[in-house]
Amino acid sequence: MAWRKAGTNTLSGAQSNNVVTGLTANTFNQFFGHVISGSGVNQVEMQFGNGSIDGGNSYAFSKSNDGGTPVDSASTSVFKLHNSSSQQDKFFVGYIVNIASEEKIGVGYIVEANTVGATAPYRASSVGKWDNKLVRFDQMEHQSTNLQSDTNLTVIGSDGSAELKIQDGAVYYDKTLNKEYILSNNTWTEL
Amino acid sequence: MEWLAGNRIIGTTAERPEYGLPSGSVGGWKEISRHILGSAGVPSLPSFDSKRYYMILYHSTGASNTSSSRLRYNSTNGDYGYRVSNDGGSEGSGGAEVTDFLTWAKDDKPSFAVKYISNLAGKEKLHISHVSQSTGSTTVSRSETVGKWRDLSSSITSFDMTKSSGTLNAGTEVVVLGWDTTDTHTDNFWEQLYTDSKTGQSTDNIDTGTFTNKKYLWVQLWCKGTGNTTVKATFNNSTDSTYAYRASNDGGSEINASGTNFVLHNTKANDDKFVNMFIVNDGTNEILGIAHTAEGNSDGEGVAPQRRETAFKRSTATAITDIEFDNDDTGSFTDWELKVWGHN
Repeated sequence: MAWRKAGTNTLSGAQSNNVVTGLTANTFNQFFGHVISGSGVNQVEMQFGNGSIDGGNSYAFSKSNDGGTPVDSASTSVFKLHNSSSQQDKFFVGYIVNIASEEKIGVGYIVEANTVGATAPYRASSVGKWDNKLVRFDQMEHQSTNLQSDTNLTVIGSDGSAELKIQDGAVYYDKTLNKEYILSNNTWTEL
Repeated sequence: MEWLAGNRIIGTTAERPEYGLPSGSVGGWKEISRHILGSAGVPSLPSFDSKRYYMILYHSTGASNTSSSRLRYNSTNGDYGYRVSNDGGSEGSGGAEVTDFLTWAKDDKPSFAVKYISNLAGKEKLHISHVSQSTGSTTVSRSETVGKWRDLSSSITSFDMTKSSGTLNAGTEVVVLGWDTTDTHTDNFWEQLYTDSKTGQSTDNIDTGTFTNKKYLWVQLWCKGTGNTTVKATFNNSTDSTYAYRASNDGGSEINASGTNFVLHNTKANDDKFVNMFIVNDGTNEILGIAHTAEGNSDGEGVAPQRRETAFKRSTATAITDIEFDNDDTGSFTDWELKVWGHN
């Protein structure tokens, strides 16, 4: 198996949230996203679901801002990644397990641009979980406010199929029929 | 369906590809540029087409002095901001650096960094980086960095490195991977080398068995057990005293240790553990790695998970062909998912 694109969504206009639906089934997922700011505060709060996003208090996370003492939050409605909700561009990367019968636990990192120009960016690191042991998630949402056009959320998954590079001249032995075929111009011909 | 030598394939009637070039899933990270030093110097990478996101693998085999190694975007000086914590210490930050920090001093010893960058023309380019640096025969250092390139008019299409003085040793390499929302490629930089999925076991040992060595490895392990379990890792079934690690649990005091393995768990408690790990092993220099662990803590949404950040190394140069995760506490592993990807 190979890493594959599981889903991506880029906003074409201002929206509150950015959701990727129809995620393929993968044991492990990497997700990353780029927040374009420009009008008020914004956040990076991840939510998950199967068929629809679970907005209930079924999440917990622990987060450290700028290397500070971690703050825990339990029985809450999101896996929070952001340091500050102030108006600034943000970039985040995370990894999360997606096994239907197990809690979905993950790790996330974020950089926040601060005021445009000669300023030091901010950071945060988090771990979180979605307490669902019934289904795998097939949707991931970046919950926020004031996301601007070009904001993107991408999910790649661990269980894609590898490309088969079969070239003319390849010989296929069909063990069902006990016959051999040679490939030429996309046609298998029995030998 | 099974691939054999000499462009031969064996399988059932149903498995025979209908066409000559069936494609796989749309792929993940794809290599778009690299430079390895043939002699002492500083890497300057071939330019590439712009991608929305970059993943950079940096492996230094050492340098002529300890000055930090830096990265430039599009050969541009003077527009970089950063925030860093070395070894979990107090943060340093700045908004007007000449270039982007890739590693932090101590560069006479081997280093390994994994850096992600967002790249949208018209917006500041933001990045997140984790570094593992050898600092002695039984010590290793770690860094967590975020930064930005303040450019607001262009996208990144080239990288080169700088040092304020001195040169990096031969064998130092920078590899750039790209990912874009418009990508349609069906190949990947990261090739799967090993996968395993088990339930209902009772063992103290999760072992990959032999896989093909690759210079860069990406490992993901999820496991749970019954009773208390540890996750202590070794390579090639070797428990000699060549391992060292530096870690922090939940942002707490640094753990600086060496011994016969490197520790990846935060707590021995009976909980789910998820480890994401990157490793470089070129067979000549020390093995270096970066790991991040999330632990579920007690089941349920009412308890926050725990984390661990680890930099590790093995001082013996080894081509890794086996990775083992051991429990030495009272419980045992029951279920796990383990995948190893790699590329030279």
